[in-house]
Amino acid sequence: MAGQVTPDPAALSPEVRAPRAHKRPDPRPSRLMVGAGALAALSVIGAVLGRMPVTAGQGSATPVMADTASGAASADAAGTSRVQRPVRYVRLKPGQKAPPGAKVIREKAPTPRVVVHWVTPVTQTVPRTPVARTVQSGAPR
Amino acid sequence: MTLAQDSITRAGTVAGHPQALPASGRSRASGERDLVFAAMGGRVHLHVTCPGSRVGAVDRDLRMVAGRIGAWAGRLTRFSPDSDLSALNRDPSRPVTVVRPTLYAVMERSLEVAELTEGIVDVGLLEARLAAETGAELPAEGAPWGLDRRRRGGLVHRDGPVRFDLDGVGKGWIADRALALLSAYPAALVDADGDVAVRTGAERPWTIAIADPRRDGVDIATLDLAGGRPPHRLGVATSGTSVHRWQHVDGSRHHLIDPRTGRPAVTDVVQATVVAGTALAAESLAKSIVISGSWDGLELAERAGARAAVLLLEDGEVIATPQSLDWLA
Repeated sequence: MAGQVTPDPAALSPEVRAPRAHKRPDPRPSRLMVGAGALAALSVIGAVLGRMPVTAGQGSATPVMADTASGAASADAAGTSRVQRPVRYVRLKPGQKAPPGAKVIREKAPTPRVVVHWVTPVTQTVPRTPVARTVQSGAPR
Repeated sequence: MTLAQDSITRAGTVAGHPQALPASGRSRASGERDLVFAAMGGRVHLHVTCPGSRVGAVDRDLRMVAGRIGAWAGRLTRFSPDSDLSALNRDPSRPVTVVRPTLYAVMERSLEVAELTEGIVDVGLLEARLAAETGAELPAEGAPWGLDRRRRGGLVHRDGPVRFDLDGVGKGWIADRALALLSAYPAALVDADGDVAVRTGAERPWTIAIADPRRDGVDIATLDLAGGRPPHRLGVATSGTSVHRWQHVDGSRHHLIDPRTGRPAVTDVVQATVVAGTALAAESLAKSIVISGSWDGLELAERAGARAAVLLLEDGEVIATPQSLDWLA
């Protein structure tokens, strides 16, 4: 077929593809140098982190919450009550700083949660007919 | 009984007066009266104990409360173009909008609810809610907003485009307000389409079932809000992802938007029911549990003072907080 490339048998021969055996240099000195360099870099990073200012909530493993818009009410010059919308809470990762002006709330340490499980509907033992039924909005009654 | 039969708008929300439902089952027991009617896109049930009261006077009170509920719902619904909420939403970028007292009161409570739920319940997410329903591209984060109280009503400030959906906040507020109107009765219950405000009497316990969303007519559990103690007010409400859910080309979406992402919440909770001090708090905490997921949600509900919580999880498991055992029938 026109244009078809026929492989050169010589190019595929084991003789050409086989790696040549030659003497390799001793790798131990270069490995030592790389290891020493990595240790030095880690010490520099550690020193820089240690000098960073500590904000509220840092220094412990407990995450903190930053309230970026306080919900507190305040009075304006006209004496009217103004309520600002408390909107966004951001869970800060350890080491992360709250934005300027944000109120930082320390989150409670997680406590073991106890819940009651059951499989069969409790309604089997209901002594009285319910007077009302609570449902999701729009659910059939 | 003659109640105005006004037109029912989209999703069955009654604009104006409520519509009486047939076979309401009134006067179930001696010394008790009740009234069932359509409002807020569903069914509302009022029930009071009234020993020694004249039946006619009690029924008048119930109809008066039904009328107030219809009027409030008419102002707070987003499904009627004539509502106060629709007027507020008409120009989402308007920096300052004057709103009337009812809408202002609910907006103010929505801010308290946002604090209670640590920002999880946010009424300014209508765009994302609609996008979840229609399959449109989910919008960018809504702009901040705030309120200024005036002698009557107040002002809504917007720092950019934002439209509001009061949804369960409005429903819980209405249930609590309606219960307050029935304070003359020893015990009373307002079931606002599944969000319940109740005042227990010394002798009248209220039994409230938690519907199982997987099977019609079956309940997950029953709560016994016992009497025998000094009268106290409670709220019971349920929220979940299994009813308002839509299938789109990019997958399934539901209506509960996580304000932290602006997208339908990724959660292991199918449905949550909460008992709290008010229907509004119960509704908000139930929604927060669903949005936050079972682990974070239960912790949040505990911090916010929920009395009980019963959850249906994605794997079919039903779990409840230990405090819930005091309330389970």
